[in-house]
Amino acid sequence: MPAGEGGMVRRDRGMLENEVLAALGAAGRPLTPGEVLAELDDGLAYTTVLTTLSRLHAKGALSRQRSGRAHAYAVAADRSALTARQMRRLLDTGADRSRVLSRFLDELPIEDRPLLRDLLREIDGG
Amino acid sequence: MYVPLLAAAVLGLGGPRVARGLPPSTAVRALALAGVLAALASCFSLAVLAWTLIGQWAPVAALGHWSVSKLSGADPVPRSTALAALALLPPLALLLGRSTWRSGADWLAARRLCRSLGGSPGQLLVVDSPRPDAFAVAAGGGRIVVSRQLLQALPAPERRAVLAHEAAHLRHHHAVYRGVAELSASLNPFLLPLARAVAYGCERWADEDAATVAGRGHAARAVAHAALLGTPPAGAPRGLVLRMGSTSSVERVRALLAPAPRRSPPALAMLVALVLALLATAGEAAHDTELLFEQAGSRSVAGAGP
Repeated sequence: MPAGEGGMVRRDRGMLENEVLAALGAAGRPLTPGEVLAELDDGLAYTTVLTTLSRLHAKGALSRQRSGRAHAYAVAADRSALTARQMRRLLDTGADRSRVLSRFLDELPIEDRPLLRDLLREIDGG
Repeated sequence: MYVPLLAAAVLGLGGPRVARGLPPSTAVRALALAGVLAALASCFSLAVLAWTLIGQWAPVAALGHWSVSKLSGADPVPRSTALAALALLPPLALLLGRSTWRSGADWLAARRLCRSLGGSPGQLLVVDSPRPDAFAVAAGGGRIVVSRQLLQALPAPERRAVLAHEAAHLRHHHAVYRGVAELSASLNPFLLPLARAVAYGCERWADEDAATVAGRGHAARAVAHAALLGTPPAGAPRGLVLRMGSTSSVERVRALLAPAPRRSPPALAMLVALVLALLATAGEAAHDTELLFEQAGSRSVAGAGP
């Protein structure tokens, strides 16, 4: 069993903003601050989440609407404007050799898939 | 005069192996620097070899005040070798030019993209893309682009690992290290393994940062999940770099399942020694050449015939 999770360093503001954006992106529907807090599931304070949401909204990264007594936030529609075509163009123009883009996942050949599944099982089961 | 070329090849081929024993942050910095020095040294060596021939050309000899006959008599470099060296220089210049051009074009395209995307430096941009993907764009202040599909497929701790990984790429300016290594490799193909090692090292460096933030297990899961989510390559691999990277997901996961890498003074010392040896050989070559031309020049006779 690999070393435990945690040893959480205090998140910097940019990282926190990105995590909130990611949570909203994953949800696919507007979330209230309470729902975002639950989604991040990380011992954050409600006020911290609220502040971050307000800041992102002020930056124009989020849209918000009334939802009962609270606001519900969502990723601003015009911000996810990078179309599939643009992304494909970016990735296809020799971008695999690109020094300017660093991709998280690389193309995985079929023969490596069972290897990775085994490793995943090892992590989860150990 | 040949030794710098040899030393550069040794560094290019052996350096990555030595660097494997180092923590990624050290390895990347050391290899990138070594690559630059090796590229410069090998070009210097070629130039020196070519120069022994150019120096025997009468008009040049007249300018330099050395005797052609003395020079050709004392010259230890066979004519054919010098010609080969001379012939290599223009193509190398072209390769360097092309590599620089490509880097510049990539960077400009990325900057344009960032401008059209908006957002602030280091900000995450969620993208409605049909394929799961995540990458960092190192231009225009830096952005992290992740597709909604990937975000939905990963639980919060693994999302955190992906974000921390991409943020590390931006924070440590990995694009610069990779760019420098690729330029070095364009000057000396023996440095291609080194450039690949730098690219892989940057991924490991970012993985280690992600592990610090999200935990090694979550970081490992994130890499594995993301790789499994990606679609298998459609046709022929798109290039040398892509093929090498194809097993890197497995290696990265294994590395994250192992304990964090520690410093290794012996490995670093070995790398430093290799680099110093390289510099020494270049210095020797310079010195030998200087001597050669000096001797041909003593009792100088301008424009002497054969």
